[in-house]
Amino acid sequence: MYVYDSYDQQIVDQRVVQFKEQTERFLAGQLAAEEFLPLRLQNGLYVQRHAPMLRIAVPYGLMTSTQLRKIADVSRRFDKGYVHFTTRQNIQLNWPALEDVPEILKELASVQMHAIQTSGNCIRNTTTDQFAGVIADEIEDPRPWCELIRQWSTLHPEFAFLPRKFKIAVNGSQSEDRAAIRFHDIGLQLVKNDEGKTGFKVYVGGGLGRTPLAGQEVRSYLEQEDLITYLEAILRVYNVHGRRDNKYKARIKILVKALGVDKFRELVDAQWQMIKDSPNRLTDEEINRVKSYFTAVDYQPLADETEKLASLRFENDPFDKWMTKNVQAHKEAGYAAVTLSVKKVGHPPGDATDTELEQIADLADQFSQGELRVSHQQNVVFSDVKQSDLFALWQALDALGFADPTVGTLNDVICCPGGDYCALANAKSIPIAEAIQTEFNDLDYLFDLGDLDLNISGCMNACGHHHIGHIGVLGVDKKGEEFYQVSLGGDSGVNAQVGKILGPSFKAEDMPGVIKKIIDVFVESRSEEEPFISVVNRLGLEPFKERVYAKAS
Amino acid sequence: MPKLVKNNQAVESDGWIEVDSLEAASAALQPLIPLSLVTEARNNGLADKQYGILFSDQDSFEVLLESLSEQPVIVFKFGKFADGRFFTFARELREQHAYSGDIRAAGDFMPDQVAFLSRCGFTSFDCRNEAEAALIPGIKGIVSNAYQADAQQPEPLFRRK
Repeated sequence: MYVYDSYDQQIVDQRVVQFKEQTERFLAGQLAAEEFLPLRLQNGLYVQRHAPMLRIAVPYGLMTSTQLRKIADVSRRFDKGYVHFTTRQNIQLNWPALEDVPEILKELASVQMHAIQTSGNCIRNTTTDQFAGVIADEIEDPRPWCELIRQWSTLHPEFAFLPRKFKIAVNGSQSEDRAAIRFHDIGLQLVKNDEGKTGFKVYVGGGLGRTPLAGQEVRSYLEQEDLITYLEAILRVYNVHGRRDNKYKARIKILVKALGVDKFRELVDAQWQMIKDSPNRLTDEEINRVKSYFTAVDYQPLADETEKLASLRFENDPFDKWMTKNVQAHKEAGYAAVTLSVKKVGHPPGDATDTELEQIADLADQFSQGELRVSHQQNVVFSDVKQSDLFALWQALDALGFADPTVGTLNDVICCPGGDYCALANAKSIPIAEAIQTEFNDLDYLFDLGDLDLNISGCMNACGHHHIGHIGVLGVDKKGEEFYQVSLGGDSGVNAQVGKILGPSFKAEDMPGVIKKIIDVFVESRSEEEPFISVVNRLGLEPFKERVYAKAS
Repeated sequence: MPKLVKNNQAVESDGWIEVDSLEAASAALQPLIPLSLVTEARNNGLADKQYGILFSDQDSFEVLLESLSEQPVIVFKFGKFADGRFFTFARELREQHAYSGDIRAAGDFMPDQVAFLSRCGFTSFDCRNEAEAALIPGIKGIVSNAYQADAQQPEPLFRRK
């Protein structure tokens, strides 16, 4: 994992000093609220329904056990002792006092963490596959590229006041897209050209929110050394031409759609030609320097233990289920990647207490070289577990409640904080997730249903990514009452598509029944083992509509 | 009390004044002429006189480039501090059009933006009030290094360390 040098540390430390000075001026009444707003947002601080919310950056979801313990410590000392893992691989504190935020940031800086650009109309945390660097089918580890983008985008002087927020994601896998790159402002897919050289396919203009769109290909192959200058050209075109008159039309996706991707490409290329060979062009030396931090994992030469594990699995059904759903194959023989389910029924998805964070940190030290990752699905991943340790790890996780074998199932809900916490929300989202999880609490049944993404957002801002859930749920406000709109067929992966709305929305108490009916249609219609998304694509919405909106007879 | 910051110091006016008509432009010693009047002003014999260009958020950057000659100052007047286009315009003037005169921020910008504005090529700041002008020298340099190449620092950090 990347380790700060003295320059990185100095920039983060000075940003803390700068924010402290800004906060003091605001508290002294010398800085107007509307002017403090973009300054605090650019440092991750929202003012929410009940209290400020501080979003802490976890660059591309990767962190050490030391950093996690610091988060636990901060949440205990300055907050209510729990945190929220977000869909963009960050961590949120929900109740810090504004006066304490500078001190919190100072604590975070001591473990090479910060909240820089985790909100506001600037370039946000770059995200990637939670299994980056450990899966076999990668073109290349995307994390060094994420780190290069992090450094380039951090305190970029030109792009701090963009028309709207800007999100970049990178994917390295050849067969899957766990980073949902087609639904980001810029999506970068690592590819090889005909000569076998690694570069990027570049997508632009994807996003969720009010106008969900899949990103379009703006360049089929970009040399790796050109990454930064090309990104700079895209951002520059967006900064100048993006709409500023209507915040709902300000994302780059609207610009790309309005111009057409061909015209957009022309503008970018014209700009790029001016800066392509500038000193910002990456050097092999710098690329190799950053890469060296990600190749340092100390793997021992181990034998594959799949067969040994088979007998343990045969004897122990819960362990077998966990192995099936929560354990991912690793590129190194004798290792595996493990997903800890942070989706306990009755708790907000992605929430963890200070004690739980410390337990996770201890287990990461014991079983996964002291590192962990936050996944886009709001879970935690141990990326480097010895297969021979899997049973012991499973027992430890099971005792702590992180071994629910539900990863990828209907109960692995992606969900925003919703109306319980967020001032923007139209409706609560967490109680809906909870009611559905309770309805589907039979593990064998969940298992049989196979992979199924259920995503819930409390409003059109789509923090719960409802558009790209196989089943998506959106909270809407109807004359002061909370209703829920259901969509089917969304897909965040390689076959990127936005779900289609089923029909009129439902009351909260009807939601578990509605989901049950949808699942019933699926189960009756599927061929053996057929995934939910395939059935929806094959049948269309009609049979689901008929069942869900059937008049009681 | 001064509200102009130049060379990182609050100073009294350096003589440039905004004008809103051709008459005022010819009367003033150092007028800042709105971009929309520049062509007309030139046709009316102002070409020989020293003048600066006043660029508002309604103006076209392409027109500014066409109007660019030896003007010693270009003023970008912010309508809203959140309008980030001027950051790009200034950089393009410096890095792609070799403009070496003074680039001044005026109107609705915040002292907290001055560090980034400077890195984009702005060299003077006509603040909203004296208190903000007084604040700038103290806060501008808090973050003293940067990853990126910019108008002040032609090389990114990775080529400098």
